[in-house]
Amino acid sequence: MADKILMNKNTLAALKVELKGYITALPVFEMKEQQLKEVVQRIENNIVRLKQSIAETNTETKKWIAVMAEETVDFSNIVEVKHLKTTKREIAGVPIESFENIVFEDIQIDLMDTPLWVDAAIAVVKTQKTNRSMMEMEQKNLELLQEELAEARRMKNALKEVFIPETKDNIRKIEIYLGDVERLAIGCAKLVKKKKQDKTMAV
Amino acid sequence: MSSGDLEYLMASLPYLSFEDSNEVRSRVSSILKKYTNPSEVKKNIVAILEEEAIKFLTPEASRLFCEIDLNTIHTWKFQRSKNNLLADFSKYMYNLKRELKQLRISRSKEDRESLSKKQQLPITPGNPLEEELQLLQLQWEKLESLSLGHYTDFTALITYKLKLMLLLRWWGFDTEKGFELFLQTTKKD
Repeated sequence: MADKILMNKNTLAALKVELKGYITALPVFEMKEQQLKEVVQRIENNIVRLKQSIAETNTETKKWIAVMAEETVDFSNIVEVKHLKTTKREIAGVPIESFENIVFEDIQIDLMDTPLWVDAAIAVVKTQKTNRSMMEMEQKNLELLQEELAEARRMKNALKEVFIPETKDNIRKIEIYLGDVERLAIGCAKLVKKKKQDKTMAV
Repeated sequence: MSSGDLEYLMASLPYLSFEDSNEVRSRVSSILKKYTNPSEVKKNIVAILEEEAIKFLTPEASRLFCEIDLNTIHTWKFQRSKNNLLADFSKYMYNLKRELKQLRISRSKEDRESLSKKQQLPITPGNPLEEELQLLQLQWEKLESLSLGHYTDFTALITYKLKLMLLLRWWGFDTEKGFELFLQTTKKD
């Protein structure tokens, strides 16, 4: 845009086409920004809710987790994630994942040889692992969406604040210039015509 | 083994009661640690008790005494023991573990109706720590009732070891350590 523009009708026509494109694109980016903002807000709320849930479970578990100091069972082997099932979908062109379910390895523990508390501990470890997996997934989604949102915002602002006003300004300048040239040409033509008439009359 | 020697040993051991406080812990631990070399102060206090006890026991009794462990007390080997207290406590633990197994199966199926019908354990549902403490108390009380009349004999010494192991299990419940382990486990993939 900072380049020197050619003050001619071709440039004027090209700029008008460009302006039309910018005006068409602006609402698209505005809509994209709006849509992404809503989804980002929803995911941020989800993350807050998950963090809250993890913290609440930790607080509740802390009341009895002293029993876990008795190292009778290796929980990292017992509570192992088999797979995390997610579905993929697109939000404003960004592929994100939605949580479906989490499946843990079906490892049987000896109910005669392990203490009663182990069952509750396994359940709460599974809950926290599920919450953490969901949170990690949402954080990845958030990262992708925020990147796209920033891009959409940049584009909207560039169109709104730079491209459209500058193109309009260039169009106006060229129109003024071409108008001036036209008026000058008419003036010259009139002058030549008058001179010709004067010459004829003198003869 | 002479009863006089055991009487001396039993009298010199710290008194055990079903309670948990820093004072009780340090009293029991410091008295028992007096039996060991200063270089071995970090030694498990059950091991110290065993070392001290075998000085007064026959080889057969020593072997049996050292084999006693809360994790295996319910096994057939102890149920058949010639020592009545050991055999009775072993059977009691076996039945307790079987009832607990039943309770855990019912809980896992979330079959609350059958759970309340089948619930024979005299424990009040609570959080896992509360339930473990109730179970420890039940075992302690069982030992108290089985050991009535035994004060300075081998049975009393066995009772002492079992009670000490019950207390050590309770005292081993540590919120900070447990919570740290819990966080590590939940953060691992």
